Amino acid sequence: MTQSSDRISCPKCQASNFANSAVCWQCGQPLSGPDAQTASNQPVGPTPPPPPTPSFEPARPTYAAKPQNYLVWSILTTLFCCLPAGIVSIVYAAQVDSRYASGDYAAALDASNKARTWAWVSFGVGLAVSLIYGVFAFLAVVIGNMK
Amino acid sequence: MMAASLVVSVSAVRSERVRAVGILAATLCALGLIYVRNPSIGGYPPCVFHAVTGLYCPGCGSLRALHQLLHGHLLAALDFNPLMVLMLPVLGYAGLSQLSLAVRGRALPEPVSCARQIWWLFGIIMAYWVLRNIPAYPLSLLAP
Repeated sequence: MTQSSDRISCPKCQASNFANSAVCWQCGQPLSGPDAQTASNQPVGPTPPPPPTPSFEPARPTYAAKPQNYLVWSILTTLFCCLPAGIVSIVYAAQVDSRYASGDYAAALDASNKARTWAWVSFGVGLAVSLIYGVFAFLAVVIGNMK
Repeated sequence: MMAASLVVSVSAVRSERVRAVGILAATLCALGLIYVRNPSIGGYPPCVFHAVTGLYCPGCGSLRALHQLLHGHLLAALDFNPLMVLMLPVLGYAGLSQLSLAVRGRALPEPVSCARQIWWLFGIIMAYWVLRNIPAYPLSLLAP
C-alpha cells in the first residue's frame, strides 16, 4: 500500500484525509467515497492498522464537538445591557464546558441552549428598554414643542 | 478535540459571512453614535438595574467609558468602568475570531476553553458588582 492510498481527498473541500476517517477533518463532510469502499472490499489479509499519526497533522476524534458556550455574548450583554440576565448566561457558559468535560454531551447541549437564551433575554430587555425610552423621549420633545 | 469544534462546514461559512457583516455594521454604527454623542451628557437609555435599585451593575458606565476611549482618554475610560476596558481585548479577539470564521472558514483558537476559567470570570464580575457599590475610597474608584 503506497502512502498516497492511505489518504483520500474530501469531495467537498479537497482536504487530505486518512482513508479510514469517518468525516473530513476540515469541513465535517462524511467521507464514504469510492476509495473507502474499495478498501473495504479487499478480500485477503487482516485489516491494516490505522496509519501512524504524523506529528504535523494530529488525528481528529470523530465524537461530537463541544457545544457553543456563547461566553462572548454573555460578557457583551453583561457589560452593555445593564441587566443581570447576562450573568445567568455566563453561569450556563461555564456549565457547557464542565458538563462537556465530564462527558455528558446532552447536558452540555442543554446548558448551551440556556446560555444562548439568557444572552438573548438580556439583549432583548436592553433593546426593549432602549426603544421605550426612545419613544418617551420623542413624545417629550413633541409635547414640549406643542406647548 | 478543540480544533474540531472550531471548524465549520463550507455551507455554514456563507451564513457566517452574513452574520459577520451584520455584527460589524451594528458595532460600527454603535461606536459611531457613542463617539459623536457623549453619554455623560445624557440622551441614552438608562440602566434598568440602576434605575430600579439605585445601585451600579457591572455594566454601568461602560458607554461613557467607550466614549472616552474612542477619544483617546484611557484614564477617563478606566475611571468610568475599569472592568469593561480590561475585557475589551477579549471582546476584540472574539470579534477577530468571528471575522476569521467568515473570511477563512476557521475561527481563531479559543482562549477560554475550560470551565474553571469561566467560573473565575463569573467570580470576578460578581465581586466587581458588589465592590463598586461600596462608597469607600479605594473601592469607589470602581464606581462610574
